[in-house]
Amino acid sequence: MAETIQDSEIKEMLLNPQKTEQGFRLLMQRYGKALYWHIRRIVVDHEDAEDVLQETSIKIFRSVANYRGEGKITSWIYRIASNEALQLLRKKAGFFHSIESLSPSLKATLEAQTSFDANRAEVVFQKAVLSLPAQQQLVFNMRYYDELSYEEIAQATGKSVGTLKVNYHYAYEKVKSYLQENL
Amino acid sequence: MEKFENISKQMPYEVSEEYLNNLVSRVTEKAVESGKEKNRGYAPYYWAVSLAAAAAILLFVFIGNWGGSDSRELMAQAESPIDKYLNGLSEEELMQLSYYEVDDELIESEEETEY
Repeated sequence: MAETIQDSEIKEMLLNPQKTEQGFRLLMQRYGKALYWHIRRIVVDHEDAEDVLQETSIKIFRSVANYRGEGKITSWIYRIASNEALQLLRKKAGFFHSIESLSPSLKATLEAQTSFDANRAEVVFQKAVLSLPAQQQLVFNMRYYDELSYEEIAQATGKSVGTLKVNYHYAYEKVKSYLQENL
Repeated sequence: MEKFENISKQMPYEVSEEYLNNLVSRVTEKAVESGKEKNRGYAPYYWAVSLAAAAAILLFVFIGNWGGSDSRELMAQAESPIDKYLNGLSEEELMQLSYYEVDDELIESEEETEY
């Protein structure tokens, strides 16, 4: 996702204490829906996605004071959203289980909340993504759906570009073979 | 098999654009409100901390003075009758007292040598 002039304007507003609120509103207007879908791809359930989006927006607004304008604005907000979404899954998984253990229940939620006219291939595709380990899933979603650059994802996840490329490659291959088996 | 690239990036859920727009504006407003509440929430906290610090300083000064005079009074009350008697003696009388003490010691040592 290329950083446009609007992004830099939003950034300037966020860094100006008198225009923070205005900048935040513009930021949410521009990326609010993308954040919702990013979160929903991770948590699957609509109500959970709403709650996480609310928490994310509160965190973004409150952490504006600590935002120094380093890196891309998308990396910053995607990092907060991803952390919030993963935190919810960790809570659901419980202390003794990993997030990956939630995969079957997330797939079941996906089936239950799928619209009647949904394309079967899209549903299978989502199931394939939900079968991936959390880290690969996150990288795959940000690269494939949100079309973030590896640099942006690196800033959002704190991983190196090389690691992310490997993660994406593995994820891509796994999704491909899942589709071969299930379509 | 359907090709990976041919599958649309659309999610298989039914969420209208209008609903999403409303959701985004709702969460935005709530976030702004909560941010303002947080800032407002700090103001009484700062006041309370300042007042507590001022009260602690005043209390310290007050107790310091009061405690000092009190301790002097207590010391005066704690003086034994012997102390009072000694305080009332002149220097000469005090010298005599110490002379007697020395004398006693001499007597004791003389008694010891008799054996």
